[in-house]
Amino acid sequence: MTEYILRRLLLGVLTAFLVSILVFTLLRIAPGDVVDAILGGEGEVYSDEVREALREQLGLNRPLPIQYFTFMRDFVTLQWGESLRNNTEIWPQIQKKLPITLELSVMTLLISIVMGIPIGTLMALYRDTWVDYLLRVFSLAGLSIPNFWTATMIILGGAFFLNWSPRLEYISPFEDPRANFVMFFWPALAAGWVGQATQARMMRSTMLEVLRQDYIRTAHAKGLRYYVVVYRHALKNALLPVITIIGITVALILGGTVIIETIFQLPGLSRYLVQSLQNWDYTVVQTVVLFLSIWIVLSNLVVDLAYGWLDPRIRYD
Amino acid sequence: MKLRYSRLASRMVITIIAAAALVAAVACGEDPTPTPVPTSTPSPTNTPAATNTPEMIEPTATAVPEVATDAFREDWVNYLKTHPGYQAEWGEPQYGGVVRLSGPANPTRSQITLGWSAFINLSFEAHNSLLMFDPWLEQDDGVFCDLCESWEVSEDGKTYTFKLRDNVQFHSEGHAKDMGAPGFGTELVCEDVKHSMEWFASPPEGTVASTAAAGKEKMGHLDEVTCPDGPEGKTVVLNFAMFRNPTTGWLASGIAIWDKDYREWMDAEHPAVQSSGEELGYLLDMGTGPQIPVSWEPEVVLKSRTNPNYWIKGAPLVDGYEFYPILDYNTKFTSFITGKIDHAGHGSSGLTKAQVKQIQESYPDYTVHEVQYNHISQLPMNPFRPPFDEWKVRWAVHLALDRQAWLEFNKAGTLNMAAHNYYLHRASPWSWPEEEFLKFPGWRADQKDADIAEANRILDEVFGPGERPKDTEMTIWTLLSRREIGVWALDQFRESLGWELDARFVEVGEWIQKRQEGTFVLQPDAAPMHGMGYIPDPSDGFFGAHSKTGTRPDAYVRAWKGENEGKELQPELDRIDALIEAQDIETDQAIRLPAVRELSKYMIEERTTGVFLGAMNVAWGTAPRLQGTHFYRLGTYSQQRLYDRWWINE
Repeated sequence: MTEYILRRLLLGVLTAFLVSILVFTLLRIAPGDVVDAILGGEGEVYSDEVREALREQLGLNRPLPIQYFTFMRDFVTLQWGESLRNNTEIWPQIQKKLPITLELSVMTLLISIVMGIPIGTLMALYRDTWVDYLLRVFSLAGLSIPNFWTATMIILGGAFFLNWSPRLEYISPFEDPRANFVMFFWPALAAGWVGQATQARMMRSTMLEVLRQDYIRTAHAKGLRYYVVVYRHALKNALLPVITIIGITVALILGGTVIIETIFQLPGLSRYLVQSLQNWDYTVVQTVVLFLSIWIVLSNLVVDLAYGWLDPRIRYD
Repeated sequence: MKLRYSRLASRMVITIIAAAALVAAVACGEDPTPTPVPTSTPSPTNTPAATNTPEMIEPTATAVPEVATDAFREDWVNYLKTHPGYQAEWGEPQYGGVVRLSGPANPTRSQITLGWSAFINLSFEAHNSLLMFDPWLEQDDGVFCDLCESWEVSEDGKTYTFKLRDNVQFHSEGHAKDMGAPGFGTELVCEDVKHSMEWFASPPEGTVASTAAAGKEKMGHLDEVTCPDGPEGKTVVLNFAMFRNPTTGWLASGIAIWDKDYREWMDAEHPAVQSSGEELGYLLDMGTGPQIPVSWEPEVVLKSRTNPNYWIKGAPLVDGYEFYPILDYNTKFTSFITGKIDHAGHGSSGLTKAQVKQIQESYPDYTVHEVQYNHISQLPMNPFRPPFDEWKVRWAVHLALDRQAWLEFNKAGTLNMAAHNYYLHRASPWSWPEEEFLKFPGWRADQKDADIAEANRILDEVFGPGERPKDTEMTIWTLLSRREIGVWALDQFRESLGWELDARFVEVGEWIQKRQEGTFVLQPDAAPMHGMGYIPDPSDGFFGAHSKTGTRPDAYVRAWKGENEGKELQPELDRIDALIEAQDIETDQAIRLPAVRELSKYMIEERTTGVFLGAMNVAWGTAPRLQGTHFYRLGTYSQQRLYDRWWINE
């Protein structure tokens, strides 16, 4: 077990290393420059001298390998530096924004699970009936419709029919749990609808498979009540592949929050990333992406370890 | 067994529906903690002063103004109600409340930069300048004393003498004070003005290019600032090396007066505020103005609260301002119509055309203002890159694009989001009258078919009959104002010229880089390139294109007519520069007018490489509770005192 974890962690380090090279390189290859983003407002041009002076000030005139190693050294030693764009320190920003993204992710995950697993189960139980078809359409729609469209419809519908719009300022759950819940529910619903689709479909197929198993027939044969058979015998066994999907969903949710946070005015890590990308803020983008990739690596590890807890037959050799 | 599964499933369905209904009920419920509105400030109880109106001066640089009245300092509300710009439908000015604004991004250019930023209206609320435009009048109604009690200009227009007001104090509180900055709570004296003016005339090394360029362009001729009554005195004399027509206007267009010690501290401790527009600069702002920045959360909100020691007693009316960067247009719109923000409009990012229509149809209590912005929509073509390195091609595009169709494309409800415009701001008395420039090639609607036919003839001659270049790239910044030009131009090229362009949508960094490096081919733009950014003086527009002080790339301003093709660029630029400078110092305005118009015509028809489509109007919305809002016809970047007189009618 320990060896397995160590091996996975080492693989995680390698993954993060590759991600760092990829992000660093892509940012430099992509057209555009942070110096231009800083200097070039509307209607402005500037001399090459001004441009070069700012490049020097920001340390962007150094050779790329040196820039990369400096970045990695700073990252590993937790000296994450400042935004090139606005000189704010990155680590305090991450500390402030991460809980918001985490809360949104957790709520999205919960909504996707709460929707996906019952829907998948119902589809299996009602296989090939109108309920199955209806839920399949609902579920597939979540997968087919982009979440930014869903999010936009939610805020437009909310405004026109309920005179509601997203709260503009973040409020902590410790300050006002209800307001916080309201603030996160709709974005989580928009993002969670996507996540539930995969889970529901997986749940349906695995549930159908499990329901055909001998031990289910045996359970019925020995006179167990149906809900006991479904909940205790079928559901738990059908859930295992879904857990894998949930692990992947975590990464997908993080991707989805990029748009969702922007639309719902949530000042989380993803919105920070979007703004930094728009501004070619190399240091912030590199740091946040690397941080998120490590997070995803670790969350996948946790999911893998959860298998062992859910299914004692699994051994980590 | 199927039946039993079904029963079980029915229970699940009912449970899920019940749970969903419960959650939705909670989530849709009224937010129990709406944005708090601070309690109102009690109305001042000073003795009402006599009715007065601001004295106006002639908008010529040499006019000697009368002494400005000081009565408004005693009874602000009465002053407002008797102001010529006051509108009865606004109702009674009221105290209290916080005005909530929104914009599409985090503020940039955090320090005062003499314009070039839509954020200047907000940031300038921490400051005052020597002179000002009246926010309830028009800019061409003249300039008025702000920090001065009186002012006069010498006969030769080179010496400005200001008598400063008494008892004007710099902010007594502020973020910078907490960080150790000096100067808080001190009284405004001559040395503060001297230091501030000298700072603008010659900003420290590393100051962001736009500030340095603006300082050089506007205050570069400042020779000396003296304090005849000593550094602690109240008299300031500005000696200019030469007379220039726009000097008075520029003095009123946002030159912030800082405390000397504070300014020195900022330059020493926070140079990045100037060099890279460090956003912390907003929070560090300190001046004599009506608002004190109190908090700044990037991507969330910038807050200011009323300066309790503001030198105009009883002003301002509101308790503060909050600025919310809202990136998404729909989110901004829904925040506006549900009352979370009071003013949907910021720079060129106001309401979209569809939103204007929606508001006019469904929200009659809301006001949509057609603001004559200082941007000109245009389609620059790079004269250094094929196929636009051939002047005939550029001329053909100029002839073919349909300006009338552009206006139709920009109709939104009853609002016109675009207007005909020819180089200088269309509301300016210096610009060509519309009925005249609409007879010029490319602009004449009644001969559009002939112009298009001529354009196609030229292109056939250059490329061969019916042949058009393939893969001509148009890089379109995804910002709405640029995107719309790009999308419209794609259709125009296709329909009028049979030319399929290769459109590429890019983000701002790449867009600016291409412009900066001159690697673009076609690049829709909307900028105050040849409009009046700040003041109603033509120099303000022309100097943007001056080859030595201007901020336009060569690729935007190269001569493009046949007779100049192949010639050295610089001699031609020098010639134009000389014409720009000549009108700038011409004291006889009757001589200056035709010179300015001819220069405009030359610039747009023979020198500029972009096809001008027209002036850009922006739609700024105000909620029913927000009153006192008036937006200048001219120079929207000059509205430094824009928010001074707004109030909340609860």
